[in-house]
Amino acid sequence: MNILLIGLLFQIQALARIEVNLNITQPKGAPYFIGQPEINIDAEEFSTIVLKIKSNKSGTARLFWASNYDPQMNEPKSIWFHLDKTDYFKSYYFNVRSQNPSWIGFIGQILIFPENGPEAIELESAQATPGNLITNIKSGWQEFWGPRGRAVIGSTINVIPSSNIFGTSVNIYIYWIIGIFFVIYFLFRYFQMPETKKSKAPRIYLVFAETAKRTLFLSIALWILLTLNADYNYFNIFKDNYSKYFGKTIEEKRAIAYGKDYYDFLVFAKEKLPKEPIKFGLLSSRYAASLQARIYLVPHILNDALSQSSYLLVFYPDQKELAAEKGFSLLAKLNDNAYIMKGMK
Amino acid sequence: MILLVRLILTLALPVFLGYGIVGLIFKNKTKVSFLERFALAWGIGIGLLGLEMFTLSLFGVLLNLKTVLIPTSLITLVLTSYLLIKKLPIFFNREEPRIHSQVPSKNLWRTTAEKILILSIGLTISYVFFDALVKPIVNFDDLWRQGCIAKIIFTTGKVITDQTLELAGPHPYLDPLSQAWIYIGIGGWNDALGKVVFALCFTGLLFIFYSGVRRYRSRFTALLFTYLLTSFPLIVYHAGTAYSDLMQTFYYTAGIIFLFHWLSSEDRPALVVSALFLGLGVFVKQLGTPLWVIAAAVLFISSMLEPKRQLKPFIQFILLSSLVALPWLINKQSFLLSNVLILWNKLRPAGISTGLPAAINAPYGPPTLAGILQQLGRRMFFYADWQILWFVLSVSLVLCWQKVWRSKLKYLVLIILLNLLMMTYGFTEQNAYNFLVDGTLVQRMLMYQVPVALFLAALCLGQEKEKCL
Repeated sequence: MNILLIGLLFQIQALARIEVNLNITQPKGAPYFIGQPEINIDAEEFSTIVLKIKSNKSGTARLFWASNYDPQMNEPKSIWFHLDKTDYFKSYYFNVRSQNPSWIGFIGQILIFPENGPEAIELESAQATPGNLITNIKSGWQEFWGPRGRAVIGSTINVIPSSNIFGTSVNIYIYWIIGIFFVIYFLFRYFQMPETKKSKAPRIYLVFAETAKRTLFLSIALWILLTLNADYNYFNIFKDNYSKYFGKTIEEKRAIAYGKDYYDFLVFAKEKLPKEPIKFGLLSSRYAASLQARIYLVPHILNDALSQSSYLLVFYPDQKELAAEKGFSLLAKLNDNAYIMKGMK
Repeated sequence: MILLVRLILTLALPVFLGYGIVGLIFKNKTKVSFLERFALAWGIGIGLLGLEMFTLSLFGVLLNLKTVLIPTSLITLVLTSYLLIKKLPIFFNREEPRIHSQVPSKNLWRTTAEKILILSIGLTISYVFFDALVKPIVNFDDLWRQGCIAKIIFTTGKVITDQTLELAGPHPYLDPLSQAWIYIGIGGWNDALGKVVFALCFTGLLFIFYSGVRRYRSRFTALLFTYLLTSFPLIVYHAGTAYSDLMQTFYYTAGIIFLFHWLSSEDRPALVVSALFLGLGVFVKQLGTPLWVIAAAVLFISSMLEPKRQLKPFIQFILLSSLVALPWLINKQSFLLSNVLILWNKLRPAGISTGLPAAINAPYGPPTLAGILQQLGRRMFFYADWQILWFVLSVSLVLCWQKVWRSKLKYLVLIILLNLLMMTYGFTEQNAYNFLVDGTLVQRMLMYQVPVALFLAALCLGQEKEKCL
């Protein structure tokens, strides 16, 4: 125990000595914070990033990095985490190497992207350190309660990942606990249980049966813990949905789900399009815009082939898409980025 | 408030229809609890109502409140009158098994635990209703397929249109038809309220599961494993969406649990209920057909293996479930017919594939058996979707193999194995393999058998009925 404590003390002292302070700022108008100037730290040596952040709203954020192997900031080289609403600078610990195998080579730059916008988020300091037992525990704890497997995103409909600790599914830790319990309990009972002459079954069989029974009890108990964890996630989703949708009319709910500006445009389009079913096309750079238009404007039919559409809905189009407007003339305009066009043929 | 009353009245129609059918099946036999009777009434009622709407539409009848309400009410009225005249139970029977413990437990710990479990299950059911009803449909397939088809049916009164054919592809229509019925009933397109169908399927699933385990095991075991059924986040999540997978899970699980009741007790109503649910399952998703075939195959095998059994129940099962599934099975888009046509095309000399080689469309490389098993294993054991179910089930089967082999539980094992085999075979096709690796499809396919796997684990591990460990 003493040796452990002394080791820990040395590690903490080491942390105090070896750390790189990162200067992270928000470029004007950018929705992210980025390290300036570029650093060049060895990922092997500096496994841990510590950020001190104050945020007046909770939400999710991503920590990205660029390495000499891949200088782009992209999702495979990122860690997803929860930003808590705090009125003080809270420390966030990331044992990056354990959470993401792409923390390799030399790290040139890091970037923090708050997914709910950078407003009212302050970053006091950022450090790269070799990490120690305490930062590892804090990082693992933070990772377990992080958004992975808890936050509802598009892919939730197909798969819900388990919470991770040090980049490993919590299920694997449970299997290890069950396995170790089985071995220890079996050995303990085998050497403790006396040979009974009354029972015909050999001692090893009796011990095995008892151990198996206890192990299954333990498995169910651990499963109940996972169930409570799932219940906690349901509670958080309930809170989110309650504040977002409860007590609103179905129109208001759709406006929230689709985005207010897009919903207003769909209502406008419904009003302006003819009453009898027509085929229409859609130009929009927004995600899911066609899905929402398709269902909202039934009985009108969304046509993916614009040339076969008699009407064209345009909502914040991609610049490349605008060429497709050829052959259509303006029918009705909600604003410069949201208008309806009619085929000239 | 008026909307809520309308919704309740809209739901009452299929539930009453279901109660009539359930009363007719079980007559005055005391085999179903109050909860189970409600769940069966809901499943059979909404399923048959959907089939009725589909059939009416095939005959050119435009679907609206009058055209659906009048024939359904008439059928329900006839059924209810018959049950009343014959003095058969409709909603409950005084002699039905009580859902609480028949042996008053003196164990304070146990009764407290049971109360906590009931509360927890109740909270999850409340959460599911809230999640389903509070928000409009937001997920991909909800918006693009099921929800959109439901709105087309509601708006045009037709099931088969050029647009629905394009959107549905080979998928059956029970999911959109049941949502369309809600819109018709409440008199408007309210996609949030339309999802009440799936919250009710979830509740029905829990009731049937609980009652199913309760037939063989103690109340504590039944409650504990029902609570564990609420621990699967993917099932709970789907209950708040308009995807068809939860509905398929409901119909399949009920069908298999009642098939097991039949195998265990040779109680004829159980076979009828199983045939009805598995037949209706064919009308929910494409995969309903192979799932039905697997159940039928296991019933056939049991008929061959069990000394006293004859082929008659198997034939009855096939006839009844085929009759229920008929409107969809004979549809040219159905899984069965389209696959027969594909097979026919393959067998014809000119029908040899002229498409591009599969490897061109292969972001994850060609499927190998080892690759499929590795991916499948990863999805079964290391994700939150199924918690540690597959591990606990595997260990239970190893430890209880004698008990399983000597009892009818072996047929449940066979059903699960055949399902896994079917999935493995299915994933040998390149496009399906891509869905396995990227996770698009596999967990939803596993969802259908997860309650059955949990049911098997409960029967393996649970304490005997009204006995203490």
